[in-house]
Amino acid sequence: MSQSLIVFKPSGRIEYQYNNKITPFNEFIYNIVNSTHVELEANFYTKSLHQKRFYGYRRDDVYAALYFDAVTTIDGDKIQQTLSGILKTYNKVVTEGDSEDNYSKLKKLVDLQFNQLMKLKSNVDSPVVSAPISARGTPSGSGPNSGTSTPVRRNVKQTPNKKMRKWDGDEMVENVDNSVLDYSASADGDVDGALGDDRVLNIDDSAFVHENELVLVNELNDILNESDDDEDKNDGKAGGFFSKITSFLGGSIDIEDVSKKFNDQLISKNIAPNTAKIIIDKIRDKLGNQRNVTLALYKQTLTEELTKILTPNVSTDLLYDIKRNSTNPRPYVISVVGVNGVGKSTNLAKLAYWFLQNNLNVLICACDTFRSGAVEQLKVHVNNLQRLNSQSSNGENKIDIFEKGYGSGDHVVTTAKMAIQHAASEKFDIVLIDTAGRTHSNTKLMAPLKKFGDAANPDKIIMVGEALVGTDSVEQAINFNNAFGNKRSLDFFIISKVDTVGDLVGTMINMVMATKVPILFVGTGQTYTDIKRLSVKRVVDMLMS
Amino acid sequence: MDLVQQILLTALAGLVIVLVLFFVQSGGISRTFTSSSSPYFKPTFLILGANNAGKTSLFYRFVDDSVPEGKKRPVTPTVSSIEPNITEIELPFSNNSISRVYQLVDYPGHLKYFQLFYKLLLEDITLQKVKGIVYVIDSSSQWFNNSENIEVISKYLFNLFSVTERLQNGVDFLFAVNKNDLFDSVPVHKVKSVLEAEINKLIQNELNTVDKQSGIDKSEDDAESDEQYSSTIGHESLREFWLSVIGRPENKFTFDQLEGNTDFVAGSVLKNKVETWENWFDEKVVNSNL
Repeated sequence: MSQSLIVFKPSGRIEYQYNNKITPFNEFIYNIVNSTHVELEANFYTKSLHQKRFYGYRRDDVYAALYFDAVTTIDGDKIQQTLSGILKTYNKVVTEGDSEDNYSKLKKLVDLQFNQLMKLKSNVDSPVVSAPISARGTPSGSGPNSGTSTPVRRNVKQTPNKKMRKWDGDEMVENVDNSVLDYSASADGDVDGALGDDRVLNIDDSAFVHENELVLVNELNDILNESDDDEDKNDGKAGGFFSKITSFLGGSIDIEDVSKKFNDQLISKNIAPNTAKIIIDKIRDKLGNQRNVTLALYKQTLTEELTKILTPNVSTDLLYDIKRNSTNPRPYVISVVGVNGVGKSTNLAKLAYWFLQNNLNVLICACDTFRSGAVEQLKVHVNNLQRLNSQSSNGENKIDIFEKGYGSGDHVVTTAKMAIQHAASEKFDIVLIDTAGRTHSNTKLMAPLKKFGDAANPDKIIMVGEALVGTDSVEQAINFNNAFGNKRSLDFFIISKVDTVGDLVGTMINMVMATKVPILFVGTGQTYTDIKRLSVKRVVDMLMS
Repeated sequence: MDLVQQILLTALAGLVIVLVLFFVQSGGISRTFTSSSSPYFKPTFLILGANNAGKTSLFYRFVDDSVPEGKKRPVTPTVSSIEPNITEIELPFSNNSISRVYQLVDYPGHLKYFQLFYKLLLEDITLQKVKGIVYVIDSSSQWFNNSENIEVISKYLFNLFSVTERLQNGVDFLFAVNKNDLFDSVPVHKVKSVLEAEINKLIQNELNTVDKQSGIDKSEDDAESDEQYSSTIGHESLREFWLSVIGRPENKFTFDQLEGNTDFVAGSVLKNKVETWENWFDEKVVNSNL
C-alpha cells in the first residue's frame, strides 16, 4: 500500500512531504506539463498511472498533490476539499514566518488532514461517510470511519447477536429484541471508543499525542474558515474611464475586457469557441492574482501558452526513428487515416517522395479498397515518383505499389498483412498504408479501424486533417484518436491545405488541444515538395497577429 | 498674439500629442530595445539537462551555497519543475570579496518547453550574456543505458550547440555527470564517448540530406532570414554548421572540435560532491574580464 502527499512550488521545490515516496509524482507532473491529465474542475487535476491514482490541486502559486493505490476510490470532492484545505493551511503557516516551530505545526496540520482523508478510502461502501471537516470536529466520532476498525466492529456486533438469538428462540421475541439492541449498542459503543483511541495513537504518535489533537483541530478549523473570507476580497476592481486610458497607454488593464477581446480574436482565427474559452480561462487564471497586468504581459502569456500547446512533447525525428529500425526485419509501417477528401493519398505521396530522397525504399499499400479509382490514383503517384526517382542522382532506391484490387470486409486487413510480408521479403524499409476516407461520426465506418490497427500494427498512425475545416476538427480528431481502442492512439497529424486558409490556422490548435497529439508536417500545395515541418513560431505569430 | 498664431500653436500641440500617443501605443521604446529591456538581460549561467537529471537540486544547492551562512544545509527535495527557476547569485563561491552578481537559470527538461527555452535564450537573455552552461546528466546506468534517453539528450545538444557556437569562441559547457554516488554509475569517459558517438550519428544523418527537394528537408525559414534567430530549426544552416565543425564529412565528431570549452566532471548533488563544479564556476567568473 503506497500513498503520499506533497506540497510543491512550480519551481520544483518541495515545501512539504508526507513521506519520502515522492518519485512517482514526477510522472504526474510530466502529465500536467504535457496537459495529458484530466482536469476535473479548474485547477483540480487527476490522472491514473501505474496502478496509482494521482490528484493535484493548484492555488495561487502552490500545488498540492497526492496519490494512492488505484484499487481504492475516494470521492473526488472530498479530495479537492482536503487539498484545498492543505493549501490554505500552508499559506497561513507560511505567512506567519519561516521558523522550525512553524514547520512542525504545518506538518501536524497537514498530516492530520491527509490522514483524515486516507481513512475514508477503505470504507467507501459504508453508509457513514461524513465530510472530512465535520468529522474532524469530533475525533472520537470519526472512529467508526477508520478502515481497520470496520471489519472488527462487525465481528463484535454479530457474535453477540447470534448467541442472543439462540437464547431468544425459546422465549418471547419482542421483549428480548429490545434488550438485544440495547446490549449490542452499548457494547458497540465501548468497542468503538477503544478502537478510536487506538487508532489515534497508532497513526499519530510520532507527531503528537492525543490531547493535542483537539487543539490542532480547532486551529485547523480557524484557518479554514478564516482564509475562506480572503478569497472573496479579490473581487474589488477599479473600473471606469480612467483605467481604460491607462491601459491604452500601457498601464494595467481590466483582464475581463481584454480576455473577451482575445477570445474573439482566437475564434476569428478559426479556433473552436470551446477551445478558445479553455485557453483564455487558463490565461486569466494565470494572471488573475497578479497586479498591474499590462497588455504586453497578457499578449506574452498568451503567446507562450499557444507555443506550449503546439510544441510536440515527443521526439519528432521520424527519419531517425526509421533508420534505427533498419536492423529490424519487419519494415517500418506508417498508416494514414482521415475524413474523405482531406488529402490522405496526396500527403502519402509527399511523404513517399521525402523518404525516397533520404535513401529509403518505400512500398505503398493501397488499402482504400472501397472508393472506385483509389487504387489507380495511387498508381499514378507511384509512376510519377518512380520517374522522378530514376532522374535523380541516387536512383538506386525503389518505390512500388502493393494492391489487391477492391473488396470489402476483411479484404483491407489481409491486404495490409500481405503488403507487410511482401515488404519484408523484398527488403523495403517503409510500408505506407493508405486507408479509405471515412466520416468520423459514423461508427459503422470507424469500427473497422480498430481491427485494422490491431492487425497491421503500424509503427506510426498519422491522421490527415485539413486546415479548412472549422469547429468540426475537434470532433474529427477525438473520434479518430479513440477509434484505435484504448491501447493505441494517433501518433501525429499532418495538416493539409494550409496554403488555402491564410492566417486562419486555428484548426491546428483545435486538433492538438483535443487530443494532445502533435502536428509534425503541414501540406502547403499541390506538388510533391509542398510539405513542411510545422514551424510553431510562425503559426503562433499568425494566431496573434 | 493674433488669432492665426494661436490656431497654429494649438494645431502643433495637438500633432505632438497624437504622435506621442502613437509612439507609446505601438510599443515605442520597449520595441526598439527589446533585449536590453528584458528583465533577464544579465550575465547568466544556465543549468540544463533532461528530466530527473538533478537540475533543480543543483540549483538550490548553489543558491543555498551563496547565502553566507555557517551551518550546512540539507539537500532540497524536489520534483519535476513546471516553471523555470531564475535567481541571482553571487559568484565566485570560494571568495566572497570579489563577489559579482550573476543570474542563474534552471530550465525544466520537458520537450514541451523547447520552443519557449529558445525564446528565452535568444531574445531575453541573448547569447552574449550566457557565461556558461551546465548540462546535468544522470549517470545511473539504469537511465544512461537506455538508448531513448541518450537519443533525447544528444538531439538536444545537437541543436543547442548549433546555437551556442554561433557566438565567437562559443559558450563554455560543463557536463555535470550527476549521481556518481550510485554503485551503477557510468564513468565520465564512457558518458563522453557515448554522447560523441550519438551526436556523430546525428551529424552524419544531417549531412546525408544534401540536395533534397522535399519541403520537409528544406530550411523553412528561408523567407524570413532577416531575423537573427530564424535558423534555430533551419536545416540548411544546421548542415553547414556541422560540416564546418567536423571539417570533412568522413571525420568523427569529438567535443574538442567545438569552439567553446567542454568539461566533463563527475559529482553528486545528493552526496554534496559539488566542489569541482563550483570550481568550474569560479574559474569562469574570475577569468571573465567583465
